[in-house]
Amino acid sequence: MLKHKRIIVTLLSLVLVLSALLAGCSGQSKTATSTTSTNTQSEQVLNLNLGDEPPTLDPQKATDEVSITILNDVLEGLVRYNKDGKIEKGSGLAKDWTISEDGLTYTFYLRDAKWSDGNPITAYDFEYAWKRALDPNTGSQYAYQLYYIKGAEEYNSGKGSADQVGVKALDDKTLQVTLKAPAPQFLGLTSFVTYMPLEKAIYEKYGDKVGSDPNNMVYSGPFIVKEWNHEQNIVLEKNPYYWDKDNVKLQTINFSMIKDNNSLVQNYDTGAFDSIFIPGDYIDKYKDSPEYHNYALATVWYLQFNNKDKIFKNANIRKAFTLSINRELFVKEVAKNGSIPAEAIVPPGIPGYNGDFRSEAGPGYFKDNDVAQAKEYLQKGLQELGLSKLPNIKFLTGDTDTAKKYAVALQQMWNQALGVQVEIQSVAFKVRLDMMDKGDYQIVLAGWGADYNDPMTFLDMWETNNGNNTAFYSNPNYDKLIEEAKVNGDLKARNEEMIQAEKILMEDMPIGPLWFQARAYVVKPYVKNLYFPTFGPDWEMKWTYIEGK
Amino acid sequence: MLRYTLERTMYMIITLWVIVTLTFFLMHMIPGDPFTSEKRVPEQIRQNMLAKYHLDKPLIVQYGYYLRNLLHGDLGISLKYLNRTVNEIIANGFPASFQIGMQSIILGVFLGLILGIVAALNRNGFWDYVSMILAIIGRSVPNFIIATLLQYWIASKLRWLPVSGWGTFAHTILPSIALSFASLSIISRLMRASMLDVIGQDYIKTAKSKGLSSFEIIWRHMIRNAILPVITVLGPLIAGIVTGTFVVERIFGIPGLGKYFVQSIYNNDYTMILGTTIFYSAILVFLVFLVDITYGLIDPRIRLAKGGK
Amino acid sequence: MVEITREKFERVGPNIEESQAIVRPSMTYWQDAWRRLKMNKVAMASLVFLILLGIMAIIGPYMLPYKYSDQNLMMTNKPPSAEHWFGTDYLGRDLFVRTWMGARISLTIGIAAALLDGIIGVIYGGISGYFGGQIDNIMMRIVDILYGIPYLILVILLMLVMGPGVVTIIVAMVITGWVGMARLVRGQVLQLKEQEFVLAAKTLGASPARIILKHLIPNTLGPIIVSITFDVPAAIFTEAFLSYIGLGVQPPLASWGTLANDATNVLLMYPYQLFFPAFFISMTMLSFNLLGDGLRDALDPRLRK
Repeated sequence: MLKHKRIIVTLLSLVLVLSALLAGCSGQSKTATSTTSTNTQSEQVLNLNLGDEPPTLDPQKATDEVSITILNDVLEGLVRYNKDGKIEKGSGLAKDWTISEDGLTYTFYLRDAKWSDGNPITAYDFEYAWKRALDPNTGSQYAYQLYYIKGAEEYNSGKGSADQVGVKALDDKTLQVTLKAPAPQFLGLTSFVTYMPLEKAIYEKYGDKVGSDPNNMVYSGPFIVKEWNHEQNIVLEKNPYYWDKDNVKLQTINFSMIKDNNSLVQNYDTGAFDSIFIPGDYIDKYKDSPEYHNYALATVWYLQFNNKDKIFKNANIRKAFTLSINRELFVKEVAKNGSIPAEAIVPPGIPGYNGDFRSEAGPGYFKDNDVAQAKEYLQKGLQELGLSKLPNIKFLTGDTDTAKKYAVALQQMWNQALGVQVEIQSVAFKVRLDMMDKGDYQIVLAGWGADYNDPMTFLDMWETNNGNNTAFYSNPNYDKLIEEAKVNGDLKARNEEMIQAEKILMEDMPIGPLWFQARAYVVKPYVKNLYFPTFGPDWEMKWTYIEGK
Repeated sequence: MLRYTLERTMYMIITLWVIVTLTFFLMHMIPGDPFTSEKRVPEQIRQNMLAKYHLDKPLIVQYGYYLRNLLHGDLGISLKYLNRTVNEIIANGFPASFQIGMQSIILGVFLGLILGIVAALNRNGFWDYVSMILAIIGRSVPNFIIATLLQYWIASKLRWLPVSGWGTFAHTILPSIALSFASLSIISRLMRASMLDVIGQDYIKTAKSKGLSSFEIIWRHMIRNAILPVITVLGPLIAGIVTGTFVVERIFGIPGLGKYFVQSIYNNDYTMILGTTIFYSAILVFLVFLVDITYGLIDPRIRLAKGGK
Repeated sequence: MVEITREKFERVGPNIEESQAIVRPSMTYWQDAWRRLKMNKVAMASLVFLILLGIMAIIGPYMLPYKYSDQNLMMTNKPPSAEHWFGTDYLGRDLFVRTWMGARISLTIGIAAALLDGIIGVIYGGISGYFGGQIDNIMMRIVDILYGIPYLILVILLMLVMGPGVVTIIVAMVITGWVGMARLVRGQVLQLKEQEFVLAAKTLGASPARIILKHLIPNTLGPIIVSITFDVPAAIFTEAFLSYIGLGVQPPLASWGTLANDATNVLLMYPYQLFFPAFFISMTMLSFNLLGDGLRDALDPRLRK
């Protein structure tokens, strides 16, 4: 019976090893996740879903929406957008600033504010952080967001030195910035994460590990990161050292990281989340509920044509494909989230000279669902190309469920309106970018969100040699207008130049606008003052509070 | 025995080396690089980043670096989670995947064995079909459907368990059940077949004619002999489960390694792809080895010294 | 009184013809297997179901006046009705037509992948097992290495490198999938090659290729067929998983996997959308598995009566 003894011994030892390992695992994660909600009356706790793990909380390295959302809560720059999405003096760490006549020199005067370790926040912290972003050895992907500053691009490309960069702390409380050209968007940009200050001592202590763990950071914003369980949750807590802490009412924010649509919806319905962005077709479930809302993002979606392609080099063909889409029907029945049909590039809400750029430039440049006109363009285009019939067209898109759904709907519209056969190529994210960069496509479904609150963010990318111009569009007149607008200190003339540029763009139609994106969400009625910015972070929670839960 | 172990260890190392090499060169064929994003960055910045993470060197040099670091157990820094090392991420994510995987294996093996035994003893009877259908469900319904349905009924409708999340034992129950169906079906079918084999053997007839009680026959003679072949599939099964947790982790929001395993490929996160591949391959190869050893220890008919498998 | 005389008797003698005549019709191995399979009601029901499924995959998409890609944005997410027997999806496409279109794709992928696995595995395993020795050793090491790669990573890598599509899916699956079959065939061949009929063939001067193809493989066909029947559902399953992570067939084509995945996205609102693809995936799996079980019993020479 030796055999049986061996079995028993083996099994026993296996069980022992397993239970030891299991005990080890469960010991590591003692904290229960946010899915258990507390019922105490109006406790100042907010439960939200982040959707994903932030790749890094190092402000100079973060580039994605998730990281930016967290960083916007825990750090503060020279300015902070207020509740209405405006910039006003004293809304951030700078209590005041002056701008020189030529629009090139900005002098910021800092308020008395403290890091979450109790040390004062100085102008040197800003100078240090900005130069860190530009240091080629940091490997900051968003370093180019600071290229408006004199000498910044040179330093970042290894052609200049840190001392030549136009940012200087004159004393503890005064920061002087010199730009290489006037840029009205610069003030707004100083609220962006790459411009966030960093305490030098902290960086010198943790190096590349800054922002990898709650303890490897100091905070200047309304909240601090209390806990970060990777892939699981992030807990923020009110920052007792924050300069405006009297206006911060939330004590705790629990962020989960759920990706599955059904889990998300069920967690909202069971009360584990206080607000969610509604995934896909679940909009039907909520659209009649008083908790349903939507808001416009500063994002435009468009068909990007490969202007070097043997078919789409023809403007009339491009116009035919753009005009034959029924945007009205698309946003109502396919997108369903309150998106607005787009017949222009710059979304509504982006400021022009005096008011809204869109209202100054006119609502649109062509008619939605103009099938008759589209057919005419198609005939003209075919003639110019010497073709009798369009060959099969390839339409590149992403591999998410939403991207596929949108692409299929558009494919059908072309087929019905123009009778063209369009084949969808749905590929993974990086593969799509690579194909776009190489010009290995005919049409691609693409979107662009604002980097800053100015029409330029939607226009300068279509300059001839811009890295983002993967449509390979080139028009010297367009380039000239954009270059002039970029250095024009006369803001009225600048605005006029940008309107002209957009007009040229829509005449050539290297890209065909489809819709201005909106986002649908549900929020429980007891959540007050939760703001949804049109670009940048997902939420602004500084002024949020809970009442009547 | 020692010689056998040494020989197998050598083979394992060679296997892992080939896997690393294959994966290394294959993954560099994926279009794009880790730092491409929807918003293109100026070429200079891309070069800065490639230089910082040594991706500007020729491929073969990078491969050399990688192997050298690998020998020191250093899997490098993730190219997506820029200030976390692959070692940290694996150490962080694996326990959750492992716990879910192990619980599901234990559940699946336990129930699978019972179902298999019952089915074999009632061959073509009612219980045979019941167990067959149960086993088939595990094999025939994709696990994202099982997981979604379990979540909907048990957690959302009946509210017996949390919808998603991690931290308490209650959070692990639904994912473990969802994941256990696959092993349950494999084990029960295998156990059934193996039991049927044993039932026909002469020593069972001998035992019967000796007048042993049927419980004793089943327990001492049938099950103990029938369980042998089941052990051989445990290795691949465990590895399959532990690597297959991706779907369940995603649906139940579990902070496991499955996501990194799949997403790293999409992100061109080279160090992460290699790290997870090596890690999982090592587990797989080691488990197969362990099973061979265990099997040899248990079954005296197999002589390890001869190098047979 | 009756007189018994010698003349009344006739010598019968040994009737060689009769005693050697075969009363029951002679049966080949395959006829016998088929006969036994026919007696297995469950396996036969599965076979019938699969044949029906195959027929529906061919004619199903033409039974309603819609194409699988036809959208009607005014009729999205409608439950089953007289016009749309299985309802419509989020773009108002008919789910009955799409389900059978999906059957076409899923069955094609499943059967193609399983057959290719089978062919490659049989050749590889046959060679390895027949020659044995050093050749076997090297070939099996290669198999071990492939076995050690987490197959998922390889499949996704290949899908990204080659670009998505039905062919890619099949190739990606086969690249890792044939290993199991190779192991199985090798084991069988190792056992068989020591038997007398192989020795006889060798003595008669048959080439190794002839021995492998004409003598060894036919004798291992039973387990091979069984294994292929189990591989088909496994491949359909893998395809469903690939659809779940976004690597399925190109839209607007549909497989059962993409249909199921689309449906789980709206499960809480439109559960009927999941029902049909899930039901057919499960029934197909079930049928292939039960048929495989039946075949295993039928093809097992030890159970021959």
